Amino acid sequence: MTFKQLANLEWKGMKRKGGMAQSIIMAIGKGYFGLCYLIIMTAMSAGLFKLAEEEGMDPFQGFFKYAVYLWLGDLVIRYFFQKMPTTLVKPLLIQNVRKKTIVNYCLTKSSLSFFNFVNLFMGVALLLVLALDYKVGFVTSFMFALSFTIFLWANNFLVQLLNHVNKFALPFLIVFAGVLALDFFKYVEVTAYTKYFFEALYNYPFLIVVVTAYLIAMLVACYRFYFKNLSLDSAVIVKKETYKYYDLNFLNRFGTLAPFLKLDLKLLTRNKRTRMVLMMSGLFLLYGLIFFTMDMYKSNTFFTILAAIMITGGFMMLFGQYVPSWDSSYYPLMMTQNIPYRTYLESKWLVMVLGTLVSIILASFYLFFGLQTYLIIVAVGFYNIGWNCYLSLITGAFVRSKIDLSSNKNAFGDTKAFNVQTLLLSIPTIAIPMLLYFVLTKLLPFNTAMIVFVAIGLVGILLKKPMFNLIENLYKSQKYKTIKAYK
Amino acid sequence: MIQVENLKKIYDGNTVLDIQGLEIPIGESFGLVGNNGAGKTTFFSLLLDLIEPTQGFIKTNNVIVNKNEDWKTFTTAFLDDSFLIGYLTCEEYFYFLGELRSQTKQQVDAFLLTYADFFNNEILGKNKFIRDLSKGNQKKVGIIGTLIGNPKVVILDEPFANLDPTTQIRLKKILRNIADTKQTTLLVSSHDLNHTFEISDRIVCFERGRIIKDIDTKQYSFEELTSFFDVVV
Repeated sequence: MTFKQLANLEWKGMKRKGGMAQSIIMAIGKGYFGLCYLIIMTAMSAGLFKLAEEEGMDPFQGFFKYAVYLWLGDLVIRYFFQKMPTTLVKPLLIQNVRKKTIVNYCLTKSSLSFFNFVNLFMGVALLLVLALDYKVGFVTSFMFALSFTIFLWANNFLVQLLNHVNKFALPFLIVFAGVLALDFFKYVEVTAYTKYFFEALYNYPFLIVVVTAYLIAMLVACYRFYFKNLSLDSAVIVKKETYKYYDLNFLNRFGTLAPFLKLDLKLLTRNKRTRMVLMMSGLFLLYGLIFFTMDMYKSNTFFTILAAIMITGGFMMLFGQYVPSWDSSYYPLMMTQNIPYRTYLESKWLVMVLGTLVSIILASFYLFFGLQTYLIIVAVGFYNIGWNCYLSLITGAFVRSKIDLSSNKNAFGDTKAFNVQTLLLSIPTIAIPMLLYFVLTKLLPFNTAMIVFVAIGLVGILLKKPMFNLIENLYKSQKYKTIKAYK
Repeated sequence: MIQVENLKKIYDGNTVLDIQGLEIPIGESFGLVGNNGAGKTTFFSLLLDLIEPTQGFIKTNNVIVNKNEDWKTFTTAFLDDSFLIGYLTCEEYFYFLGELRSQTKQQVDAFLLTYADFFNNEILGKNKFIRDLSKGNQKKVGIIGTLIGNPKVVILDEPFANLDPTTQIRLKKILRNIADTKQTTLLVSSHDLNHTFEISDRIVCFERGRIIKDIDTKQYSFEELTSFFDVVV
C-alpha cells in the first residue's frame, strides 16, 4: 500500500461523506475564517515591532518580549482547530500495510496543515520587516525568520501530542491562562525571561541548529507515539469508568420531560465529549473577565454586550448546536419510543434554558464590576432563553453530524468539542441581540432599554407554542435525513 | 393489527421492497426469513417509520405509521445497537424505558426478576455501562428492553445472531411464551429457519424485496418447511 492509495482512500471518504451542499457553505465560511486568521497572524508578526515602538520600547526588544505570545497563540488556536490526521487507520491495521507507512502518512498529512502555511507567512512577514523596514542584513534577517518559523512549525507536532494525551489538556489551558494573567497584571514578567530565547536566536544565527533539533525531536516523539499506539488495544481500550449513582429524582417535577432531563444530565456528565462542553462552558463564563478588566474595553458597550452573550450563552451554544446530534448513536431508539417528537425537543430546549439560568446565576460574580454590567448580563441572558434557545434548536436541525461520544478514547480520534462550523452557526445568535441592543440603547434611556430587552426575551418564552410548531415541523421534515446521516 | 398496502421502497431506481399486501393479525407470532439484502431490515425500518416509503403505507392498529405517531404507544423494537444508550447502566436503561412506558421502578424491578435466568448473572447489579458490555450481553439488554411494559407489537431484527447457544435456547423459550399468550404481535427476523420455526406461527420469506412464501407453521413439519425454503434459505 502506498501513500497514493492512502490519499485516494481519504479523498473518497471525504467525497462520499454526504451533506455536500451544506459542507460547501461551511467551506466558504471556513475559508473566510482561515483567511482572517492568516491575515491577523501575519500582520501581528510584522506589527509587533511597531506596537513596541508605540509603547516607547525598543522595537527589537519589544518583539523578542512578545514573540512568545505569537507562539502560544499559534499553539492554542491549533489545539482547538487543527484537525488530527485521522486517516482510516483502524481497518488498515490488519492489511498488508507497514505500520511505518501509516504513521508516515499521518505525519505527512499533518505537515500539510493550513496552520503551517500561516507560520510560513508569518516568517516571510518577519523577514520583510527586518530586511526592508529596519535595514537588517539579509542573512541575519533570513536566519532569524527561518528559526522563528521552524520554532512555530514544531507546534504542529506538539499539538498532536497534546491533543492525544488527554490529561494534559486542562492543565495546559490553566497554565496558559495563568501565565497570561500573571504577565498582564505585572506580577511576574514571564516575557522578560522568554525574550532571551528569541533575542538569542537573533543574535546567534547558528542557534537555528537548536531549533531544528527541537523540531526533529517533536517529530520523532510524534512518530514514536503513533507507532506505539497503532495497535487496537492501546489506542482503543480505555480504563473502564466506575459508575457513580446520583439521585436525580428531584427532576421528576418536570413531568413528562423528566426522563429526558435525567438522561441528558447523564449524557453531559458521563461522556468525554460532553464533559468537554461543560468545561468550555465554564471558560465561556469567564469570558467577561477579559473585557471588563481591560481599560480599552471597559467603557465600550460593544464588548460588554458581546461578553454578556458569551457568558450566558456559552452552554446554550455549545450544547444546542449539536441537538439532536448528541443522541446520534441511539437516535433510532429515540424515534421509536413512546414519546412524541415535540416532547423530545421540548426537553432539549429545557436543558438549554436551565443551563442558561445556571450561567446567569453563576455569573453573579460580575456584580463586582458594577450593577449595570450584571444587569446587562441578566437582560441578555433572558434574551438568550427567549430566542436563542430556539435558534440553537433550529440550527441544530441542519448540523446532523454523527457524534462519537467517547471519541477521545481513540488516539486517532478527532477530539474536537467545537469547530469552525459551530462558530459560523453562532453568528446570528450573536449578531441579532447586538443589533437589538444598539437600537434600544440609542432610542431609550439605559434602564428602560434593559427592561425592553428583558421583555423581548419574555415574549420569546410566551411564544413557545408557535415556535415549537415551527421547530417540530422542521425536525419532522428532516427526520429521515437525520436518521440516515447518523447511520 | 398490521396491514401493509402496496408498499414500495425504491433507492435510486432499485426496488428494495415491494409488498402488494400483507396482514398480520393481533397476537400472531410472525417469522421473517430471507437472505442478506432480502429486505427484512428495510421492512422493519418502514414499520418503525425510520425510513420513508416510496409508495403505499403500513397501518398498525389503524394508525398509518408515517402520518401519525400514535403507534409509538404500543410498539417496541430492537433492530441493532443504535437502540441502546451506551452511557447508561443496564438498570438505568430499563428504568428509562419503563418511565417512557409509564412503569414504576418497582414494576420494572419485578419484571427484570423474571428474566434473571436469561441474564445469567452478567447484566444486573454489575454497575457497568452498557458500552462496556460484550456484544452478546448488549443484545440481551436490548431484547429484554423491548418487553418492558407489555407492548402490543414487538419487533426484533436477528435476535439470535451473536448469542451463545444456551442463550439462544432461553430466548426461544421466552419468545415462545410471549407468542403463546396471543396478546402480543411478535415480529422476528432471522437467516435461520431453525429459530423462526420454533417461535413463529407463520413464516414469511422475502427474496429481493418480494414475498415468495407465506406459510402456516402448524401445518408442516420442520423437514417439509426446509424443503419449501430450500430454494432460498
